[in-house]
Amino acid sequence: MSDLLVYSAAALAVLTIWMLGLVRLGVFTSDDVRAFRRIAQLRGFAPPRSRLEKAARQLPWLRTLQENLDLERMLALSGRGWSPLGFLGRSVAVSLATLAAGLGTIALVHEVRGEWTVTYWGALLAAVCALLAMLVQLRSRARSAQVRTSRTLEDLLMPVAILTDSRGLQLQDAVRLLSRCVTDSALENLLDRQGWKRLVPETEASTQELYRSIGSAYGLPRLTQIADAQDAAYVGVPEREVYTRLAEAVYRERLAEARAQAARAKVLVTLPVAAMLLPLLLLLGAPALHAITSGLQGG
Amino acid sequence: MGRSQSLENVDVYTVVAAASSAVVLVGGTAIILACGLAGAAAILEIDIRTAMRRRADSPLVERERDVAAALGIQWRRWLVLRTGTVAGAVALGLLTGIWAVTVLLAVLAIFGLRFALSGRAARQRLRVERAFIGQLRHLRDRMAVGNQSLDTALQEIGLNPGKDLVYILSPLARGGSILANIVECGVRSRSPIIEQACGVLIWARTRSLDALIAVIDDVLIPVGEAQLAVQEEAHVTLAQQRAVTFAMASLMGFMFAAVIRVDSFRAFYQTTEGLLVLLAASTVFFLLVAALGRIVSVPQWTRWNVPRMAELEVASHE
Repeated sequence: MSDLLVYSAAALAVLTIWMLGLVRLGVFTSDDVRAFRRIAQLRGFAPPRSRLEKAARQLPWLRTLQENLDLERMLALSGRGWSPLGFLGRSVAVSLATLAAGLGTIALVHEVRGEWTVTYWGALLAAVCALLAMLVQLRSRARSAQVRTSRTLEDLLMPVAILTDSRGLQLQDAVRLLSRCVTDSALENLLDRQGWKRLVPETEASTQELYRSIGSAYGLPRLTQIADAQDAAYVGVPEREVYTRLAEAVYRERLAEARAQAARAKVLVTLPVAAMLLPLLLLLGAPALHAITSGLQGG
Repeated sequence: MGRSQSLENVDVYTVVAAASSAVVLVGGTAIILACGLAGAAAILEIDIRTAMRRRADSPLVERERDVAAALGIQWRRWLVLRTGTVAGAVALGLLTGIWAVTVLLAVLAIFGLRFALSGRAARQRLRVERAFIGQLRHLRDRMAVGNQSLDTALQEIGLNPGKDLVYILSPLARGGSILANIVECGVRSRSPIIEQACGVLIWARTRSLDALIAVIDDVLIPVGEAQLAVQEEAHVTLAQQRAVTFAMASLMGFMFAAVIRVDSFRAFYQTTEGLLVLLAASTVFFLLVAALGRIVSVPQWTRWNVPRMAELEVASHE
């Protein structure tokens, strides 16, 4: 009876996956709707939000979860050329290798000691941990690349002011040129090597529109500010003045953040200092306790 | 005679068979391992040649070079100092007779020396950056008030750069190509603010003198001062972090030195249990120091590749 239940559940799961696959491939969607969607995709129009995205807009925790599991976005942010399927394939391969290594180790220990010290669940747990570690590593790389790109954008404003004003370069040319002169390649990958095409559809938009789209898709508000500054330059404000003012504003913001962090740290720093009691107690207490227990056993 | 020869042949065959099976076993295992590693490298897209090239300029080495440059110590001398400190710490640990203390002191020597000197290095770098902004003002005055050309003004600044900038600005004094000298100054400084200012000079120097003076007045000095203000605030935060860490480390060191002077306690720390306690206490201490570093973090800056800037600037004229 239990076998029957297991087989029924497995058959149901396979059928559900099959049906979901058909829905995903658009087998049940009419040809007109599919053609319209195709044209919208080619023209770069925003696709309609899925049910999950609509729900995520209402619930912040769901939005965070969706962002953390959005492999396409995270791979684009981290500058990796892999497709989500490729990343999943690699992660599963690493996970299976960990499982194999774990099972091999358990079998070896059994062979040597003659008893099962660890069950097979240990190897399975290690495999799941390896899969999660790959995801966490990708997320960490994406976050790091986002921060580095933003910082580079802030620090290149002063040279941009010179290149656009003294040398007469267009904003996008100046930014691309300077992105090649930075030791960190995150901004170069995004703008100069056109990594932005992964999340932003290629259109005939102006530099401002393009920068706003990239800023929105990649979570780079500084790029949107640069686009706004270019708007100001177009209405007659000298470019040197516009970008210098923006650079000064950026550094004032950094200064304010540094001051706020220093003030916050004055309070937070007491926590590790208080926690120092723990190793001190360990250093003093352990030998004392050992001496007392030895004395009691001896007496 | 014939029998002994056949026995010899049998022995030779046995030896060859045994040797070949060992070769097959070792070689086969090596091939399987190599294939497995190659497969893993292919799956993870690890380019071994690129990884080996990157090792030469790893962030760790670059940070070491930054600290050495800020302290005004040559790279080779810095390496000798680092090696000597580790050797001294290991020798001191061996004198205590507790091997865990030897390992602990070696770890402290590896990470502690850089940490101990990084505050001084940051203070020195800040002084150099402040002096550099001051020299930019002198450059501007020499061109605007003294009617000097950029070449002459830079050369005179290079001849009298002030105490803090002797090493960084000395290339300007030797004349020759201004571009090469500015690049050399930027490379020597290992400071993001000076590298950026050198980059701006590289791009702005080919315009008229008036335009360059305007750039220094309107862009370089105001933005440079804003950057210095951020650096000063970061320096205060860093000093606070270091003071707390030093206090914690001193307290731990003093208590441990007091504890191992007592014979019974010393005997305890030579046992396996004692070593485990020492290991646990050290781990908690290092975790707390790491937590302190996370709480009191300082802002990072973009580092510029000044030679690359010069290359692109030259290419823009061709």
